[in-house]
Amino acid sequence: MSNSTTVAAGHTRTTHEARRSRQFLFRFGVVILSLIGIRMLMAWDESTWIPWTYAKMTWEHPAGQLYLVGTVVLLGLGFVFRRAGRDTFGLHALQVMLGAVSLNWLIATALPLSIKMIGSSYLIFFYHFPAAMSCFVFFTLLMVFSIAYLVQDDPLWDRCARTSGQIGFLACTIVLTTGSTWASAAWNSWWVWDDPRLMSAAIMWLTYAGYVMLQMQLDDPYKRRRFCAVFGIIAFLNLPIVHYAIQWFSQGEVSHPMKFSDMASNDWITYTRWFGVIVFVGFYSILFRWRLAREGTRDRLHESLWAVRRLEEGAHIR
Amino acid sequence: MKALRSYARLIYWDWVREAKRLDTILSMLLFAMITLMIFSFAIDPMSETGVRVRAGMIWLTFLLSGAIGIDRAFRGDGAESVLQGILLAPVSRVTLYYAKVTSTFLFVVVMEAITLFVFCLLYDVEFESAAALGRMIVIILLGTIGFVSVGVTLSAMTRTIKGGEVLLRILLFPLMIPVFAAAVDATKFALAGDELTMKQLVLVGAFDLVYLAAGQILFEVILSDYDAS
Repeated sequence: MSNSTTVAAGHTRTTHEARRSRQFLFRFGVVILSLIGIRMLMAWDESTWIPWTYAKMTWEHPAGQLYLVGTVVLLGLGFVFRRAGRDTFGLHALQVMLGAVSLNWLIATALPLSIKMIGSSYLIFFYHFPAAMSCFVFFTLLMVFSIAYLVQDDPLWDRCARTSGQIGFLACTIVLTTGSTWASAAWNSWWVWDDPRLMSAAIMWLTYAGYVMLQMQLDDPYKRRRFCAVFGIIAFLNLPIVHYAIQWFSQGEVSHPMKFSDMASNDWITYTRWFGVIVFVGFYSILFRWRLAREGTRDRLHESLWAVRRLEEGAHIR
Repeated sequence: MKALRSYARLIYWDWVREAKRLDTILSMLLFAMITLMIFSFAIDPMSETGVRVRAGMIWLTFLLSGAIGIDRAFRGDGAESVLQGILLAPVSRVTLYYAKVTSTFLFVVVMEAITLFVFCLLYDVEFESAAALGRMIVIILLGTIGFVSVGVTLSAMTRTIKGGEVLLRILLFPLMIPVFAAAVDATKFALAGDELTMKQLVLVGAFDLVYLAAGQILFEVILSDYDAS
């Protein structure tokens, strides 16, 4: 893990990061290419299989266009930003997301034609569901790391907790935006108020937005670690309570697409969904690793600045 | 016994401070009145919809103005140095937590009592019997405990942050949704003059217990020895 490297002179750092970026792009490209290859092999038996048809299908769908163009644009922007020495974390995050979408897209187009007859609206689940799963994974990790920090008092746990909070928040945002977009197409409205699952996801988002804000606003590093750990635990304990409370006290009926479970009996769909979960959690873990290294650097900087400020005030430094 | 004595002392001094300044209760009350007035512009209170959403309106008013009282638990002129003195004194954090919860609870309850009275006057609510009013009071008290118990912990957390007043609300309100939903549900019954079901009372009570336990455990973590130095 590269968080043990110290902040070196600008030249060294740029080279180091550029190498890492190239490495990543290379690995990413290899993964994509091999998945395209697997997808081609899988479709070999289909009598109507023509690669060009599938490429055209993806391109003809507005979402497919968005993903393909978006990936190219973001790669370009990331390159320019990196050359300019800017922070490219957000761009990388988007790139990874778009890459994961494209992968899922490729796999989802390999589904049997009978399922595709339902329409393309089910495709959202290969993105929405994995994002939701990884969001749960990282919020759980956040709670575990928070407890570990309170028990062991090691700043590393705090850094892990903070990072998983940010990654989980990103995943949660993606869950909400994709779900809302899907709802506008399928249910003809962007938001439904009587659905407990929708509401509890929104509240989860708000709660963890509070978590991210809390760590942004606390200056004192010692206090920040403790308070964020405390809030991370409260927030996690609260989530199931919120979910069941809304379920018990909601006004209308549950409208979340549970009908999908009928389709899930199909092996292809189940496979694709859980493959998506593995891919997503994997990619979010890569993000987690990067962010963790970055948080380590930032912590050291922040703590020394804090110590200097306290010394200027004439305080006793522990 | 000693713990009980310091518990009573802490509450007493909170009330002495409040009696001298009256700032917490007054600002909560005024804010609640303004909120009640503004609601009448959002929804015609005498219309059918207005009658249906009354329970929600009451609780929204309590939540919004109660947050002011919770915010003041650890904030205000000299509050930080007072807190440091308490932390240095031989008083356990648990005692401090329950004392703060109790005194804040009492401030909020005073506000709620007056607000409920004004609400009944303004919106023409009548309780048919003493039992109906009693049910209303029970549910308000239970709901307020849940609200204050987490609130005090979060208030201790945000007390030193610049702009922490807003952050307190951002952190508190999402956590309050279970209690809020349960209390609104029960208040609807109480306003209609119906008997409360056992399930409603048990639910609000269970949320209270969970929040009190979590608040007490985590309060000790928040006010560690580092804050007393």
